Amino acid sequence: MAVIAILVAALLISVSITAFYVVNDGADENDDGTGAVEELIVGTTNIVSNINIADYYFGVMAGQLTHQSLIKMNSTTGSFEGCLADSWYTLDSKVWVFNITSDAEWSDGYPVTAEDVEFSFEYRSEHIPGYSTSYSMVENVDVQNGNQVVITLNIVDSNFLTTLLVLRAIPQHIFENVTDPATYNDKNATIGCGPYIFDYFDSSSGEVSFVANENYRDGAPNVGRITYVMYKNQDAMVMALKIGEIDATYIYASGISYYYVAGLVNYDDIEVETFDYIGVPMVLWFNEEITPYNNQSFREAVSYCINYNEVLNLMAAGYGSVPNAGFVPTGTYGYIDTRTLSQNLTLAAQILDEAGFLDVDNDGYRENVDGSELTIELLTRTDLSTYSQLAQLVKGYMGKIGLNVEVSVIDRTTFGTIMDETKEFEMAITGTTPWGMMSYAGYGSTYIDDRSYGWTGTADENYTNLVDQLMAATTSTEMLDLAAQIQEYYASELPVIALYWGCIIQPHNVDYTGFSVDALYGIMSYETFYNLADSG
Amino acid sequence: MRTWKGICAYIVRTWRGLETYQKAGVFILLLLITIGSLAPWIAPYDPLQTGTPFQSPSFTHPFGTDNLGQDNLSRLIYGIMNTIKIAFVAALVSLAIGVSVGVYSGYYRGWREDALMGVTDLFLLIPSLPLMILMASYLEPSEWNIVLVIGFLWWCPTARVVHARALQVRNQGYVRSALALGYGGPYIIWHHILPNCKQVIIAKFTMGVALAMLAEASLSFLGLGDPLSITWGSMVNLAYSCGGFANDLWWWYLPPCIMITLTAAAFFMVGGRKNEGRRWQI
Repeated sequence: MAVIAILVAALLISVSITAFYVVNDGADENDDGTGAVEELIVGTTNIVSNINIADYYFGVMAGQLTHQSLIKMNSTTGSFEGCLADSWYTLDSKVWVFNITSDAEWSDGYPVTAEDVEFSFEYRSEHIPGYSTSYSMVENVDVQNGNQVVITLNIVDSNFLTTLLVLRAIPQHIFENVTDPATYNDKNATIGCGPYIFDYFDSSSGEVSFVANENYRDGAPNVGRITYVMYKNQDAMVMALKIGEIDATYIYASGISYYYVAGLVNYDDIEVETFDYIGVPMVLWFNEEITPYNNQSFREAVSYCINYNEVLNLMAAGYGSVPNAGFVPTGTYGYIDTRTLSQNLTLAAQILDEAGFLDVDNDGYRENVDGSELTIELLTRTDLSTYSQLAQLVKGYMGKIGLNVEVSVIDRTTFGTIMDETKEFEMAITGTTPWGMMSYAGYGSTYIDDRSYGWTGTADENYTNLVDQLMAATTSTEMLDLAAQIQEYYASELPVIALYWGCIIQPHNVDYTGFSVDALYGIMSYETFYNLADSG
Repeated sequence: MRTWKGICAYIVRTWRGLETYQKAGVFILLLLITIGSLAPWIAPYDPLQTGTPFQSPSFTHPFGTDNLGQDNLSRLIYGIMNTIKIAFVAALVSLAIGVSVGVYSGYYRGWREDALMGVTDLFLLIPSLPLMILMASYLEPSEWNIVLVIGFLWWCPTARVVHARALQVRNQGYVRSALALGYGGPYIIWHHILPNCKQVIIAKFTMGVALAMLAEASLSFLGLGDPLSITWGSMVNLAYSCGGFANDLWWWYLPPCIMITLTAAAFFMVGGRKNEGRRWQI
């Protein structure tokens, strides 16, 4: 009897094991047959605090996956395509008319309407910090003929489509009764109309997950699920990539640091790609509303005291280049060559001497032109160690020409408030995003023009006129000419100094092919979601 | 006033009264403080001097270099005084609060004791490290904020112990005599209670420095310390956030970890004692 029982048990175990392998083989065949990716696990150091529309990094993920604008950018061609709008036109770059597509739906089944788009403009501008600045040129949004959105600008803006890329429309039927979106963390807050639907956010495990929207108007994407796993720093994220816990890394408007490349290239199952970056990873900002930072000679002297080769080697190694005084990186449409930045301490000191910044009291540090003490506060962020390290380096360079610098570090949120709103800084170090470089009139103007974010508070008419003309440009010849002039302005007036130009270092699991990179979101592009295939 | 001769004799007497392990602790601390004080003269490089990044240990850089090519050994040496200074001042702050609360509540008793010990119990109930992390993340990163965070959250054990000792002392005959002679509370506290709590306070202080050092290292490792200050905790944090762990650069993060352990152990050795059962008591 016992022997029979053992035999039966052995038979059952064998059947179970066989069935398990048959089922799994079937699944593999299915995967191989379609090339579909069941789940893409992406490591990120962009920390999501909650799932409301005011959370910066959740907003970035939403912009990639769930929330759309009227138009989108094709990552392959770089051209604009319709998204929530089937088509659009403008006669004067001041009044823009968008025809809303009839087959777009929110993930809860409601149709996306022109009223939703109108509501999104109004609601986000009223409740989300930064939106009113980004869309300060929007005078009025109206709905006409039921499905047309008419956006009237208060200026002529031929670059408006770029600004429009980050609209992220929201459903009126959800948000019309929400008075404080920053505390509205209900799952309804995540309802969008993109190719993915928000699934879950687990703050304890640091995961945010989205599933493919099977009812999406262009069909479900090829990647069935995208899960972001958040890491405190790049070290932990890269280690997770090495052991196969994640399939790729992603940092918004950045790549991983070069530190990790040498370790990653030894892994057969990891591929490291690099691509051009049209943002500027590290920039030195002057607040032109304050003396002596409004003095061109002072800024020029600072531009000559920095050892750009050393900064490049320490911060990016070979993955970047020494910048030009024209600020706008190579690879930008309309880029022109300007003075290559280089260190010349003698010239820097001479410029300061001639401008009247002298060491009157012989304490080793220069005083202001009027003889008052000059202590420069250099502000930077705590979220990346390299920011404070670079600030220390810059302090050292400026010390070599007798400028006394005190470095001050604050958290990312406070830093953003200071730069965007209060402007209570003297000099600062932080980078720019690709969208920031493209938006407003392009060429970084949103960061510089006092009428936009205007971190440098530049209100010089020579500059603002250039920006206005650039926005009004209707032909590419006119635009390229103005783009050249704006870069020449940067090179001569130096409202900002690029500390190095970088490229994006992007590692991913070699099993996945078909990553497509767009200027806005890097590899997390619309085309990636549809073209990514599992070749393993 | 004591003469130099008297002070020297006192030191010698105290030294002779120490256990061997306490002497070892004192020796390690004195050695570290000496090295730290002489950092500008004995460190091989300026801790901010950049060079070739990620060098492995060599004769020129015995502990290699960090991501900016700064010499890890020099930063380790410069980190001694910063680390000990933060821990020392934080322990002083927590000691000042703890002793004040303990002595005051222990001597005056009544509703004041109930209120102060109630607050102490409340603080003891709160897990201190998570609260410290929370506070540190809300404050601007600076050495002094770290000192305040540690100091204001770690006074409770001292208050409890000092309170217990003050309760014992206040019932002694000489205290009652002083009261009968008309001496006021502050006089009695200063001249009788505090001197009799001296042993407990010294022990708590040395323990406090060690614990504050570990707390500072934890906060700095989590990136909540002052990124501009060179401490052992910030060195480990830098290694952790700039490729040290992922690239197995043990010479970058291991020495500061060892130094934290060694110094904390030295403080424990000085402040701890062995009871008759030969078990460590802190």
